Amino acid sequence: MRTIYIDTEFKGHTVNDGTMTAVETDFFDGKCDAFVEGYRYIPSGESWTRSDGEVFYGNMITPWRPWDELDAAQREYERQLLADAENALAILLGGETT
Amino acid sequence: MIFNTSGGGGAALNFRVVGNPQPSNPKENCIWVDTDTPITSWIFSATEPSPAEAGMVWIAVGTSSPVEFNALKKNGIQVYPNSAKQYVDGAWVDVTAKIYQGGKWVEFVFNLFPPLNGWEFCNFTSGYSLGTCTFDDNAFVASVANKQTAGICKKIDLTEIDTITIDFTTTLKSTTYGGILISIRDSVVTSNPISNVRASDAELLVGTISVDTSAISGVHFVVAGGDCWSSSGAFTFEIHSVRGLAK
Repeated sequence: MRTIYIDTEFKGHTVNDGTMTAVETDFFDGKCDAFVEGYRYIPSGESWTRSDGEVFYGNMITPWRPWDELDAAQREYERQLLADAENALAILLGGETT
Repeated sequence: MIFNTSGGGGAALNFRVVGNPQPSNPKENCIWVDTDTPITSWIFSATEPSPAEAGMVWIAVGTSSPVEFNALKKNGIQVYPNSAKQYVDGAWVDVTAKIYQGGKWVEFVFNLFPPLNGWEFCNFTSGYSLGTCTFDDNAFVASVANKQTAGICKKIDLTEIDTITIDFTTTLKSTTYGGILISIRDSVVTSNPISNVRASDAELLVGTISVDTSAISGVHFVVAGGDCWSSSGAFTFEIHSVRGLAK
């Protein structure tokens, strides 16, 4: 479970600027900040109107930035985590770092 | 607002309604219905027309549409088409309809389900078992008990679709025990869905839920179903349609 923050447009944030609402969710467990910030989280009981007039009701969690970009950012984040872990392991074993 | 006429259009109207073949040189707001059954009349209505007549095309309208248009050449009646059906052999049949706008054919809505072809029953939660599933009269009918899910899934190209909507009925009394959902995923069973939307308490028993897919392109699983996580909350539900609105 993770705490994220949503603004008045229900866009996700990892840091509260003092005006946002905190929500607890496991949807973003293990996700990088760029991924969280590309999503919209509409809590139950709330609604959001898209620019074309279509209304969506909570509980809805869906990207507002192109999904392909968010997916690429998350994969790079995970790749870097793996590289960091491998480096740390190499140090522990007295080997060379990359 | 209802029009009822036979044939294509009228002098005061800013559109026409035609069947196959697709017009090769259409005017703006030409509505082409992909049907070989002769169109005897057409009607724009928010509710099912009655009486229906053989060959009638019913263009269902709502309060928003990606293909809204002014029906009149002079003054204005704004029309918001959502879907199209034709009365064939004593029943309303979903038909594909497109409107010519901005130099291209644009589909009102993608009737994703029914038809049934390509949709499969699925259990979409790891550690849960599959509830009872069946197709009955073109609807998905299911029941779930504790730690069960039941859904239908299909890989769909979302590039041209910005909204997925399902219509459902359910016996679920409270979302404390379970729920109805739409999920967009790259695997049917995953802890990392792309999108999720769940029906809230205000939409129990009979409802519509929608998910915004405007930022999603390419082919992904669309999963529509229900799940139950409590021994107090076994319920049955039906999914009557899965629709996509064009971008």
